[in-house]
Amino acid sequence: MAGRLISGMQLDAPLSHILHARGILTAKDVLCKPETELMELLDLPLSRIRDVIFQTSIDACPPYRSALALKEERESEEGFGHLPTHLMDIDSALLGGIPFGAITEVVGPAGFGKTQLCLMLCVNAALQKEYGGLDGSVIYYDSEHKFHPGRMAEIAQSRFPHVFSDLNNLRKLATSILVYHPHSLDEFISSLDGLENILIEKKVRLLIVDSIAALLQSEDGQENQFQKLGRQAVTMKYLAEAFRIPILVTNQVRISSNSRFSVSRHNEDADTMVHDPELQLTAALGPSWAHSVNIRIILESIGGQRFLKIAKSPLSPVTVHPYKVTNRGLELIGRDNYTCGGDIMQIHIDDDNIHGSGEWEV
Amino acid sequence: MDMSNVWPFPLSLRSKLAAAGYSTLASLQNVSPSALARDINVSREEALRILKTLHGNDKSSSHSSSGSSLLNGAKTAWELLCHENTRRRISTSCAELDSLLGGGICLQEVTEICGAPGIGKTQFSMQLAINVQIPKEADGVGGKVVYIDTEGSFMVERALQMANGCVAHLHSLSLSSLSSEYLDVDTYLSNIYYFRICNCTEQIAVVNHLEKFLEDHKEVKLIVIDSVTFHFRHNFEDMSSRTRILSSMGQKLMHISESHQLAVVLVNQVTTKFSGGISKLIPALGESWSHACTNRLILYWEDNQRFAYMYKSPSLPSVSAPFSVTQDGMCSVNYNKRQRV
Repeated sequence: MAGRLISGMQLDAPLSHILHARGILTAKDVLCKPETELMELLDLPLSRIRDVIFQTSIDACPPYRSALALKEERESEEGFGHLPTHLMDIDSALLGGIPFGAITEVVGPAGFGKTQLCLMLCVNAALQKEYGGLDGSVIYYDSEHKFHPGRMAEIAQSRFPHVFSDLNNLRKLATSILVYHPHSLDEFISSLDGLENILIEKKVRLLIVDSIAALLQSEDGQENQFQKLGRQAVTMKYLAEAFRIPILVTNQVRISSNSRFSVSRHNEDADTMVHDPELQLTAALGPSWAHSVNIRIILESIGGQRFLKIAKSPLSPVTVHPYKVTNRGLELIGRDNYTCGGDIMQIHIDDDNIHGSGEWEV
Repeated sequence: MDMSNVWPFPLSLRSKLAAAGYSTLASLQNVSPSALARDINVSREEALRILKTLHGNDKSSSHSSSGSSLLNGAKTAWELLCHENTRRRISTSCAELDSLLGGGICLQEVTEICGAPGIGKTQFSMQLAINVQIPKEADGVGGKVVYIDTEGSFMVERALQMANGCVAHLHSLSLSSLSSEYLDVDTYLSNIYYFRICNCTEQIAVVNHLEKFLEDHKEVKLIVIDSVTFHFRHNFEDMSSRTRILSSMGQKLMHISESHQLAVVLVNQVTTKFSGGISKLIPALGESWSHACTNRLILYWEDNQRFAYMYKSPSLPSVSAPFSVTQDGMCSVNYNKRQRV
């Protein structure tokens, strides 16, 4: 709506001509300039300028809906506005699955299963409707070359054996996943600009960026990169909302610069406080990016057990679920009452989970 | 023209005026009471009386009207105090938070809620969007709400959960005078006017549009912008233009809140500031934005408990209050230990 052309609005002809002649072509041009600048540019009195601003605002403002109408829209949507993960506790916490029109982020150390979760969701999005899927395509931005089609097939066949034992279905699944390999943030940005056509043509039902942090490894200054990334958050949210699709993004961890760190684990038997001043990890990309995502899922480990924590979510409280990685992808193990604090930047990890060079194995 | 002989003053006064050079009506048009008093050596009150008498029939002169009309619209502090005590507030569903806020979120004020991601700003906003609708019979404001969502964090499923919580609470009050529509969750959803904003131009446009919208929808008593920061954080190379746009937006919102007697709640994000080697989280959008709100509430975690801190308020003390968020919405800490988060 920002790019909405002045020529498309109901302004009277002489006014439109003046605006056009002075280079004011879109709603943004009118609304982002100060009144005095417009007065000078157009040589019109303040009252006329205010009229123009008022008309432009009415035109550029998106229409409103009541929340009741919103609820009815969701009910008539596929999947009721959510893409299920088929992990029961997660789907129930997220009121159906990862929501459309929002950015869901999965962050955790390498090897904890972020890509596995992406692959699971690929399968769910491409799966036919009668099996609980969205029957659509998936766009997979694979910046680290982690997408292994064989692994996806393995996940598909172990989760839905009755569907994917038929190789035709497997082929259909594989053709619905479009994999891109962006090598830099700029490449990613320019591809996002042209994405609308593909979203429509290919009936895309899920967009995955695995991982977004890897796109920022370049010589460009960090602040500048964060700013660029922030703008992409705006674009991605627009795409998510306009096309009503979920966007899944994975993020990395880095060593935190803070020196105090504690994790508290509470169960019926004992209170244990574990202090580990050596290894404090934090989600990459900073708090500004943390604000930009709608849902943050953290994969971490405490006391040798891996946990999936829904750390930020407008739909649910902070919940923690123990899990393991199997041939079916991620699987939840039982339930437990771990209460955790809310610092969504902090990622817990135990020493004994580190192997040799710092690479984890699944 | 010498008009001195038709002026309604005693002779002594007329001669004083003439001696000081005031012989025509025109000469007394623009003189101030203080200057006249000095010139003819009378008290200021006397000079004011002279001028008023003289210009009594002349409507165009400013001296003929009463002194306080120049300050039309000004009220005495007493009037404001009486009004203040009857000013309605929107409950947050958490008793400690309500008392931190002096009873709840105040109408006719702009309140900013900021905090780290995931702390509960959107939950707070959605709870207010439900609670503003609580009818007067149940001590509520009974108004509607404009919810301007710039980030896509408003989830209608969650609003439905909160509406259910509200209805359950109203049921428990067993008010016989309550009409049945307030016990229907769909009513609460239908009174939320939802705008989804996708870029900063739309955000500017919707704020400009609010005046007209409110004329057509007079029952709106709350405007929420969640968040006001998102589109302004990354898209501006020119900081001065951002400051200008934000401050104009802040002023418009303040004006709207006063003239339409509604509450404006703005959600802000935090940013890191490095000072002395330690990084701190401070409200985003810079120093100049801090002036846009009347009250500023900062939400934070401490020891697995959510707190709200009254950072800025013209009348309330800067203290903290704990709160929790459950399936039914916001609540006090001791409300239900099982479901506590």
